[in-house]
Amino acid sequence: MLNNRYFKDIFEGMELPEVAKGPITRIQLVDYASASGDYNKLHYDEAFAKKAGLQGPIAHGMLVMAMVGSYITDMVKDGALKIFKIRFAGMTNENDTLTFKGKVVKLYQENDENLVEIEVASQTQDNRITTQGSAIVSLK
Amino acid sequence: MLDRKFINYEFDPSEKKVTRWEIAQFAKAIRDFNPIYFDINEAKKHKYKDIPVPPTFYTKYTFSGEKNFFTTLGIDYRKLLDGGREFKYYSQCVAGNIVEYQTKVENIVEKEGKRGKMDIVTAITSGKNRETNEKLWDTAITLVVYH
Repeated sequence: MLNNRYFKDIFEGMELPEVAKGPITRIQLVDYASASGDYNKLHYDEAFAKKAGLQGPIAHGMLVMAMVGSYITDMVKDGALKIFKIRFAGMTNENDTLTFKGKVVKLYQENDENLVEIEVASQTQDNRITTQGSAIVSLK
Repeated sequence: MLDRKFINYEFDPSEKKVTRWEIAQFAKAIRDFNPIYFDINEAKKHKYKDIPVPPTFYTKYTFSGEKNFFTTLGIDYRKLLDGGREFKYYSQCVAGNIVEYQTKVENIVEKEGKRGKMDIVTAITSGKNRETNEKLWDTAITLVVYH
């Protein structure tokens, strides 16, 4: 979708196709706890999460950032990610399905590289934004 | 309010070997089934020397050293909010690489928000390839700690 072959077709303001992923199951939360080493019980222990005032387990912020990362790498194929930043805007709950969105905000050249800056966000089925961020990618 | 003596504090460095198994485990957990994370031939087709790490794989290496970041700085988990992350990538890390990384507290500043006064802690963990000394990544961590 975004690589040098199509560089001439990319423009500022261009919206990337939306992709939905999920629902984020308890199994995935346990898988991510194990893969990342973040065993905070808020992410898989229902009684613990409720005691902390939540409806139930919530997704690790970094799991959501990782899923945004996959959305970007799927869009840019062999392009190299240079910068990737995320602000956590809201909680992603267990069983939420996330829709990932992106938009090209800047196209420029630096040190002979074709660079694209995109804005990204994740949104739940009930329209809550859970992460907002941006990425700079060097196209190949 | 956190003690400002921790500004510029450096944690001990850590060293880890990146394995294909861990990359596959991480990719599965984030439900990214791109074959470059599972199949060495696919990775090579895309010009990687071995299985590459996904962009946020370095989450495993957020804080270096044996000492716990939060207890060292005296951060109470109940007053903590994760403000966000920024990764900068310098070169591609692949399975088989030994990474060396170190965490440094960049700054602690006070701000006032809707929920009252807070400290904004920024820390940076920088990683390099131990064999080649090549810089691999920086993770900038922003934490909000309410007073």
